[in-house]
Amino acid sequence: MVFNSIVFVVFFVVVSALLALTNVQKIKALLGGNVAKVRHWILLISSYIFYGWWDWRFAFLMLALTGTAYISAKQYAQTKKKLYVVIGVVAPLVVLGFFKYFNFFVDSFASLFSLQQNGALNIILPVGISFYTFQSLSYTLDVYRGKLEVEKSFLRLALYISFFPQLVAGPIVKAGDFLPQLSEDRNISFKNIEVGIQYFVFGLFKKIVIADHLSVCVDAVFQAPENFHAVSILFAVIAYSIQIYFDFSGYSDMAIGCARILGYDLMRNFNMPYISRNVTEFWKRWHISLSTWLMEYLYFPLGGNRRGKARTYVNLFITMLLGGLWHGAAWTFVVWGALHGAALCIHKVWMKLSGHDKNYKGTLLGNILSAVLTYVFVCFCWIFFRAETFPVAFAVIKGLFTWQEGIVYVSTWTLIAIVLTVVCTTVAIVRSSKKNLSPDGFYPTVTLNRVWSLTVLIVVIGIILGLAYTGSNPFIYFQF
Amino acid sequence: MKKTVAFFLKLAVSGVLALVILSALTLVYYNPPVSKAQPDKYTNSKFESNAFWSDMIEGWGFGTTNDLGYNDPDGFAASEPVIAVLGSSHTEALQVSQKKNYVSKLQEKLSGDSDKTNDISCLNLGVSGHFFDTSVSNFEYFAESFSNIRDAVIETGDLEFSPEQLEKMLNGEYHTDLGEKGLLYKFVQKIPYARLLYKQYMDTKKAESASSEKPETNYLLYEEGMNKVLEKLSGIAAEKRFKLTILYHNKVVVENGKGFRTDDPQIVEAFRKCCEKNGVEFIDVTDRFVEHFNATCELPYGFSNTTMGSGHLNELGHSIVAEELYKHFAARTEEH
Repeated sequence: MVFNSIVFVVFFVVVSALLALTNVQKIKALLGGNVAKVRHWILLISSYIFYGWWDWRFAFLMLALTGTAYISAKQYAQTKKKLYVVIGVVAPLVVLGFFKYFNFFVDSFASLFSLQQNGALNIILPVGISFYTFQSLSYTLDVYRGKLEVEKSFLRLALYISFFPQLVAGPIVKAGDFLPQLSEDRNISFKNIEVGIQYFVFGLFKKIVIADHLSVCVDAVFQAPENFHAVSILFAVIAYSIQIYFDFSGYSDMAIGCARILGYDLMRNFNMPYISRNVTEFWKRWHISLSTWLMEYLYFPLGGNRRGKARTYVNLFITMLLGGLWHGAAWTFVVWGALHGAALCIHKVWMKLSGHDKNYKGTLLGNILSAVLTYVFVCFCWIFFRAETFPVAFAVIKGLFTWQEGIVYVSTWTLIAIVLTVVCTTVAIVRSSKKNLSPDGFYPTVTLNRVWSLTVLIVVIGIILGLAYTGSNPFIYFQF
Repeated sequence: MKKTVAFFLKLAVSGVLALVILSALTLVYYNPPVSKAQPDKYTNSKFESNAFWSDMIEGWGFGTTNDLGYNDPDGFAASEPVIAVLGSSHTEALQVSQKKNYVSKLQEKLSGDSDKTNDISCLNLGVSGHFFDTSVSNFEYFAESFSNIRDAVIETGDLEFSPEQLEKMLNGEYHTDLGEKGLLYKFVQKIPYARLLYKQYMDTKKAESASSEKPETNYLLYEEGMNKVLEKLSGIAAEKRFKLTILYHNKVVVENGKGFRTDDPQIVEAFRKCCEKNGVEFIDVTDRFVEHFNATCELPYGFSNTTMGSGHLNELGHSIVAEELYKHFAARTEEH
């Protein structure tokens, strides 16, 4: 069940209607003190239906992981024995490792030693496993570190891990951010629907109008880069940078919008990443929930920057390497992570040498140049992220740097996407500077109680339906 | 209660306003001519006559249908000798502006030879979905409907047919009538945005349905069946005293920077032999497409708002086809 489907719309309307019923005075009075519990059960059952729609077996896997997190954290809280934390961390990682990386390591081992590949298994990767595994780890580790009280209610913990708006592709929600919301009186309301629908429509436009149309030229070029002119390859790389941003941020917007309609707040996951002046800033603006998670649960436990310069760089590099591997079981993702890790280390060295601190503002020209160079570097890394194999990645790079002859294909949708991105980014930057803030993206929401704003919303929905790409294009981050 | 009623009233007004705005935008983005029944049956349907159309979904085409209801810039004059072109969406050519489709370009080239042409006009009877099988099934009606045909061209992008398909062609089973549609259909056809939504819906269904694999061809049976088809067509043409030409084009596939044909050479050769045997002219532009690509890296199919190399003939493709047809008919005109 994907967000941009009729099935999901029907499902969401039914769930919202059930939750809205709990707002009715008579029913509220009937439920008494169990209103919150009933709402949580509605959401939990809905979440399992949502997840089971992909494959009913996945639902049992998620339940088992939830059970492991619940029991291990509870036992640790009671006995203070680290063994339970180890179980709570290792078990989900073993499951993730098996489903996601078993065949990858078997194939890599076989290639390395030129062995026959008899060991690979026919494993179906459960959708979203990387996301909810990280969420369960976040809970267990926060309890261990004393940042969070152990959750006594299995219902609430299960809902945190399985909450369907963010279940299959994030944002990765920390337990400390979501569990307290379950203690508050949160539910569907007209205000929440008004705002949430606009976030959802915003995300839908980004995904099925822009990102999916961009995928056509990206797929064509990356399938056979040797056939295309360097200009075509260049525009395909730019198109991919926008495609992955709109695809993923569009999904995040839809997830945030759905959650908001239901009464819950999820963290923003992207904040105009392509205006970043350096790679450090890029990772504060791109997939914010993942970079925050990696920082808190991998980088800091490795020692962060507290064990000397050399160790800081090693920790950064390992974090990004594993971050790359998290995205997919392929060496191209590892290289992508390694490139970003190396860039982060180089930026740290540069900061030291230049004497700039993290609050350094820079000149306008300097900032523009830095942003352009950072964007170019990020696009270069995206080549490895997108290419399925190294030969394809190298063919793309070779085509660019040798100014290869071939088919000239500059997609109209790429040009539209570039103009749209530049215009929207400019509007956001101007808006931020008027408020004396550093560049900050925003959702352009309006009150829907006016004819003009309702007209605009319906026109936008109409444009989405009329321009939506009609081929099949799953969300890019579903594969992670 | 009052607030809820007021909100729904505002919603209704906004819905109507939005529909008007969306329809205005759709008039430019996707406004193909409205389809109507063709009582003379030489095509399964036709368009509303003298209607402006515009299409930006694939390529960008615009124009006005002629008085017969086809995508032809000129009116039809029954007194002038005509080169009539039957074909599919490649001939209908809503992806390029009307003056740039191959029939219009052919007309332009022939009109430029004022001392040779004797006022011959080219008539575009292309309709989307009218593949070779449909053109064959409708051919008799076509011959009956026009008395001034000098040449008939049937455009096709595919020559592979099963014996069953060839049999159905002979029996005219690919002729269908659009039929009389209900008021709702007619009403929806009048709302540009509704037609766009319908197209989106149909395209989504097409994308979801898997394409079936073609069974292996029995070349002997193919040649036998195709001979019968072409014999029938050439018989009709001979009776009505016009010449028949089959125009064939196929995709160029690119591998390691080089262009290739991918159609079955045995089928193409068998078809060519059948044409020769039955006095039907055969023009295959695919080799020209391949040569052009290998010299310039330009593909004759595809657009910047879809993908290069697939879909419909683009301006380059139409130019090449027009050139080949012109060479063929210029020689014919000299004979006359």
